[in-house]
Amino acid sequence: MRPRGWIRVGLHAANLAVIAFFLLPLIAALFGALQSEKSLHADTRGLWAREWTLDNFRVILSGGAQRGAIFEQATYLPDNIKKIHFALINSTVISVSVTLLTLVFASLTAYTVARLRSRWIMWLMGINVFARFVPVIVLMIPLYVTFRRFGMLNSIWGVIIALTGFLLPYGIIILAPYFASIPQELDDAARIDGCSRFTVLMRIILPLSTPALASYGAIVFVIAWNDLLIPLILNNRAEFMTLPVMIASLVGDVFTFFNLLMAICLIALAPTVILVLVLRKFVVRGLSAGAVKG
Amino acid sequence: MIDVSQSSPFSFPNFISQGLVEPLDELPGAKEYLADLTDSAKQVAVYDGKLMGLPYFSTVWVWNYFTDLMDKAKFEPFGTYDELMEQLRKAKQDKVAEYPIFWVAGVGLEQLPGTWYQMTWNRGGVFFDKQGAHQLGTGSIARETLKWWVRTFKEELADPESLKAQFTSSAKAFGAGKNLYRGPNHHYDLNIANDQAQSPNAGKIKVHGSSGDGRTIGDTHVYFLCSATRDKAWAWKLLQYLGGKTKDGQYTQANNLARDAMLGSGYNSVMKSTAITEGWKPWGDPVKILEIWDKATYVAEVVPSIYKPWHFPWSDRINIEVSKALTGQITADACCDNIIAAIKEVQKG
Amino acid sequence: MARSEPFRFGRERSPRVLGFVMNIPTLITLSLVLAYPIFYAAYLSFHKVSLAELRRGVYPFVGLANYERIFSDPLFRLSLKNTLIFTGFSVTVEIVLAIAIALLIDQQHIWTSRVTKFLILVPYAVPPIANGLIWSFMYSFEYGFLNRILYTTGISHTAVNWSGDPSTALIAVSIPYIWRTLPFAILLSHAALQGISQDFYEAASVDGAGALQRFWHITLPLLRPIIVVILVLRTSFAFAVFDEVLAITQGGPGDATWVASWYSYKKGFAPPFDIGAGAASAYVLAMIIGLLAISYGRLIYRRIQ
Repeated sequence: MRPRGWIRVGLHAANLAVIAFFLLPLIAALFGALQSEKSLHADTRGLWAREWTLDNFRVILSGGAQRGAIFEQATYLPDNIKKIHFALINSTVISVSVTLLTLVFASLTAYTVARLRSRWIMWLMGINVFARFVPVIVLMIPLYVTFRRFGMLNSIWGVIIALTGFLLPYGIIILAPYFASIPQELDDAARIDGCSRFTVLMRIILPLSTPALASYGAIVFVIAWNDLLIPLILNNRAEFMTLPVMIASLVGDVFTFFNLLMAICLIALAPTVILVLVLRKFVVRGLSAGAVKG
Repeated sequence: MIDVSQSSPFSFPNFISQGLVEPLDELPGAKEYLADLTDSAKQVAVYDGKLMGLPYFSTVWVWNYFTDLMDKAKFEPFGTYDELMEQLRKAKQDKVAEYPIFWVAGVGLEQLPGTWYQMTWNRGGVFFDKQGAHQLGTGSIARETLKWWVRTFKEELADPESLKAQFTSSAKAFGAGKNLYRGPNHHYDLNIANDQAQSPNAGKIKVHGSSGDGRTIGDTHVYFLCSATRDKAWAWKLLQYLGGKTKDGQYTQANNLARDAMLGSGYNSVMKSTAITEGWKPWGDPVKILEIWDKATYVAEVVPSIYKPWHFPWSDRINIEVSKALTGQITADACCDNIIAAIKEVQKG
Repeated sequence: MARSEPFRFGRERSPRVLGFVMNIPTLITLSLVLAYPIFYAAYLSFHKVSLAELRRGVYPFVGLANYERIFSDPLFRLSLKNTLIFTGFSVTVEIVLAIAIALLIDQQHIWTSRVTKFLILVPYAVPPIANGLIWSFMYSFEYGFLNRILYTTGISHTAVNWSGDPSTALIAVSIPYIWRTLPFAILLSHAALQGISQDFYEAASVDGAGALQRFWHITLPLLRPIIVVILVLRTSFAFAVFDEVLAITQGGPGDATWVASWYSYKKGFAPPFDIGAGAASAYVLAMIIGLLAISYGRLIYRRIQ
């Protein structure tokens, strides 16, 4: 049924309100990031900056080397800004590694759940449904103490392993039902041709599961990129910081620049926002699959 | 493992009691550093007679005022708290400013509590006496100070943003030029409020001493050598680079911090040098600030609990209770009673 | 759904071995990151652990002392209460908004609905800490974005103290949280909506039911299972809210936004680093969420049946 007349107008209006709500924070961040603090404080009521500038982005992306007009005099730039390249690299390395590792580990386990179904494996699956609820905050203390004991504090690997562990259950929950939905007959035919089970997984199941793998991969990447607590607790040196940790470290009192903060937030959110918009279909499917199927 | 770390004076005794800090006395050159420490720096860096750290920077608490609005209201900087209160009320009434005063009242160890400590000390009060008994009871100076402070919020003379303001953020907010006064704060904030590139009112923020005899508080942050370091010789070199002299025999870091960030130093020789008297000039009047400096006492004289391991959780409670008093959720009396009760709770550990 | 026939290649011994070998990476990772820490957290919560004990590696047993301490701490009880209010508010608002917006983006003929549908995932991708900081700029009393909007549009000429007023601070923290987590709830609702057969509506139309009646008597009852799923999932995650609190209020003003995770974090990771009490408080939180997880597991199990 096509809605008509004033209902149509109402629906457009409702959509505009929703769109405005969703975009408002991004507009606010841009507004803050594209001007200096001087301009922000010179007019505290308007919605148009006195002067627009890209200096905030310039100083961050150059690691403090290019200061532009705003920061020319500022001798007290936060030290961590100078380590921004570490943060960008760390965040990328960690998110990519966690995505790859969880895809591999989850695929292996999901295959055993879908095809082998021995009792202990089903039990493991049950634990995973449960484990996905465990919030990081609950485990941060034992995780810190455990990783400290194993000498894994202040290392990229520690964060990768911890995040992999936290995101693995989610993948098994998404992938296992998907693998199970692939007809067993395909496996059987291949096995009669002499393929091993592992080859079946590699040659048949995985290629047929690319949509599910893409869904899960995209979701893992986003969560790994955005996570604050795990790298915050496990790493405290600037060389090992991820972008969210660096952002959190700039919140403190020492010479924080608000507009710089808005710019760095935009830099941090850009990759994941672009990723989910590009892979929209997969993310949508993955999110609903992860919640409903068990 | 980390070799060298920095600490505020509030966490330092705690770190020491947990065994995280390595004494420095036996290390080459330590005696010379000790001899050059200011009295205030000594009170932080020397613990149980041992040198435990080298100074990162020192600061004292000062007031600020904004010349444009002061001229508009035709005020001279206040001399007493009564005078201040009258000015604030008049400025509000005459619509010179919606909120005539901005306080540093954000949660922290020396932000919101620091403001209270400073004004209490300035009025002649302390938080604990020499025997360790609290001085927060009915009629105490700390309690009366809090009541006075709460009034500035109740009468909407104080900017509500104060409760979120740390030192730097309050300096920036004050630089927007909407308030006449800024309450007690670290002297080096002038560097931010008077920065041409950052502040629309650069040059118009002036420093002002405290009421009465002008006594105020100060403190020193330190660098220390972590007891977990694997290479003590190397760590000592790093520590000296950060908190002592560089190879050329100069206090390079301290001099740079004075010139670039308007920080004070924990070394007498730096405080007397041109690094301070010339280095501070772009943002404030060094002579005037140094006069205030001479009237400053180390904050632990006011709040000796800094040396106790329970000071930290106790200041969490101070932050919470005083915030509640300032936002009108509880009375100043209830606030002080709660803080007194909290002493026992935090002492239990 | 369960596949009950015996394995066609059951005589091989490999499936068992293979099943084990293929699960080795998962088992190792999960034991290190989840299983061991869960039990270790319980262990720590019965011991005195602070920096000094960590250094020595010896944790004296204190029995239930940590639990007694946190339960006698009014701040902990308040944190739990605040967490409940936060969760109740944000989950309720989220479910209502999610269903409304899911219905909205289901209007294929409205081009703005397609734009909304395209943008829905944006908040989901924003790092929570960045989200929190951006909102703290929006909320700023003196120069914030929301007050600028009020001034410019003429809605108000006095500034609103969005996140600084103790009576509204908890709500102020929950709105950015709702903003960030709403996409998930919308997607689930929308997926369920699309699963409803048109036949139902057509039959209702014949009976002369209006739009509102159709929604009330057909859509809503059919959405109930997914609403329960959203309710359980979002409740358990909202219980652990942290990033937005850190970025916007740090628990303040006063104790207005102290939530359970903030309490654990402050106990364990701020001086005097009372790790034992931090672990105990986190365990209480874990128990609450564990109960929710069990109810979720049952729910899902029933659906599969």
